Amino acid sequence: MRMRNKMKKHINIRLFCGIICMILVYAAILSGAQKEYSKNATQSQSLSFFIGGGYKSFMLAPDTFKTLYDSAGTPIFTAGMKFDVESGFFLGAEAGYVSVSGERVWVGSNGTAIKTGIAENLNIIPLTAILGFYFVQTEDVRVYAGVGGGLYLVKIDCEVDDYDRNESGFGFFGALGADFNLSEQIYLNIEGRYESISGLIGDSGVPALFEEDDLGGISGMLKIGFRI
Amino acid sequence: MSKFIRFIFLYIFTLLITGTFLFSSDDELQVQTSVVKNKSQLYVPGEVIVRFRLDIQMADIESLLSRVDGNIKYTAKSGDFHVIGLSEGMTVEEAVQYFSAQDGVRLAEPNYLRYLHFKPNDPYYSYQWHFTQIDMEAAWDLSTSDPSVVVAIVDTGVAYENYGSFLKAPDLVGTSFVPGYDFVDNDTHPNDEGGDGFGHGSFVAGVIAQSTNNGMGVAGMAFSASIMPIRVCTYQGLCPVAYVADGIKWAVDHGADVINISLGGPSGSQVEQDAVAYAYNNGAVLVASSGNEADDVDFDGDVGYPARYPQVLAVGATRYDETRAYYSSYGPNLDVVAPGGDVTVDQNGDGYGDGVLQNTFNGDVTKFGYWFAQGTSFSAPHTSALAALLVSKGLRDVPSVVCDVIRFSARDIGTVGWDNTYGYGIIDPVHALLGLGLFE
Repeated sequence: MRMRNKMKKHINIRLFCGIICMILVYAAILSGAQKEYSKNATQSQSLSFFIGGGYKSFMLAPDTFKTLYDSAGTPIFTAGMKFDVESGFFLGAEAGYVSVSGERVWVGSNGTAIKTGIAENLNIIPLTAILGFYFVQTEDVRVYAGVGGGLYLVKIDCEVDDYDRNESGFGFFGALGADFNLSEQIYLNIEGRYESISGLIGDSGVPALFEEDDLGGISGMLKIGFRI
Repeated sequence: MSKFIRFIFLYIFTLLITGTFLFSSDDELQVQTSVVKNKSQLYVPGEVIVRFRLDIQMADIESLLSRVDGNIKYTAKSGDFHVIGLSEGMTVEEAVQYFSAQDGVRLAEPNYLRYLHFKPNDPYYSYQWHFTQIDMEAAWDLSTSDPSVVVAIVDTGVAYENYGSFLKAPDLVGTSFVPGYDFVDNDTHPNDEGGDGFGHGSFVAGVIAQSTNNGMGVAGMAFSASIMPIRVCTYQGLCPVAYVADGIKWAVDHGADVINISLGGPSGSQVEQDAVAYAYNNGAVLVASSGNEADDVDFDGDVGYPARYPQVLAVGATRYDETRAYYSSYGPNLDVVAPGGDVTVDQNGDGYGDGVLQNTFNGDVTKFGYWFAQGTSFSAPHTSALAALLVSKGLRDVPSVVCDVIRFSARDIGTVGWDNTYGYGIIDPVHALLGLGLFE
């Protein structure tokens, strides 16, 4: 069962990343054709800063999160910068913040979970970078695909001090998004990510019981950007 | 000179006080080498347990009995089964065969005997290595249980009241008790008459709820819980399965949350298994000692009954160095281990054999002392006490979760993962009480 879930998850990740890569390659081939139009439609080189928020689902460890935090998702806040280069590619870096409150639980082998009343809160700070390519560019909108990765800092604050934990691990993601130009300097960004952060959880605790070992999932974000 | 004499008197006085406080008489320092395991007697002779069909008339029962000159010696409090006395010319095997063949009978089996799992030795918190080993001081910060949590002790009774010739054990004076039952004497005073002279049930009660933080004697592990004494063993230490089964059912029907069964034998009993299933299905956590018959071929290389039933947590014993005690039965149905002691060694160097230390009597039911004893009989109540701590934190009426929490929170020792020597490992009260989080 665990193997099947793992395989299914990896197939999903590979499929998603594969699609993103194909889009990037296809877009790169077409970039020559689009170049002329792009130059007219958008700024060829720019640096922008953005801030935003959205929702992150922990869909790769749903039972763990439903059991501990009563939800398989939580709001995410993010801020970062993006540098557009002339060829249609861009580089981005951002820092996020996820916080979710829960309680430690007693779990039976039949999946019955009972709360202990001992608070345990999870905080995640993802420090990520993205390489993306605009494969559709018009005067009003630029649609992109990208891949990226980064360092995920995970902190557990438990009511019982001995159970506080600070962990970190690497993860990677594929992204699809679009920038909607509101003016020459301001744009609105919508982005969806599918990320995998494996190896951080799963050896013990609730994730081990449910045989879940990935903090990743899908996230959707809305950001506002400012070009300088 | 007078200062010197005063010093000598003060020194002698201090010694006397300390000695009296620790061990009330020389008798209590006597070594009781080991319990007699009369396993040659597997069941009560001249008796069988019979469960009749529900629609059978009393006249039909009497007719069945008259054909073999039998009589009803005991009827379960629940009415579920009867113990039939046999005529002199009929063996137990013949009777089982006879009753099994009758239309009106659903079940017939020998009245198996259970034996107490203990090997008492001789005679304070600092000596209770068995509590410090499982980090009880940290666990007590999380829970000491609650008087609303009832732990039934299915055993030789408990020295819980001053009644007739019986006295309450001094270090049970602050312990909470709820009414129990004496199935041997068929009355409501299940005082500890001992098993082979040793206050086995009182010792077990001490492990769970010895009066603690009262400035005397020793501590108990779930000392705020209430004890329900259930006497099912005779003063010789024989525990007929009819009483054991009835005791288990009575306990759960009268509000027991946890049932400790520090006794066992090599043969399964349908009546006992039914009682265990009934108790489990009605929300009680059942904990039993695995047995002291590690090398006994009669046990098929496994734990004894009732520990072997799937609804029961089977608990083996470890000693001070956390290795399996030489006597502790093990096998495929072992769940966890807990300190049971080994009085043949002094690994902690405290001058005494490494037994479990509690307050009870040995020989005279009115003379109490502090005794070091060993056996899976005493590892089981460590686990029952942990169950009582968990129930007090909200795990009431969910025996399957309590059992799983105890199993999965156990500290793995021996071979990685479950193994048949240590089960899931040695019980870990702090880890169990804290539950699970994202990482641990």
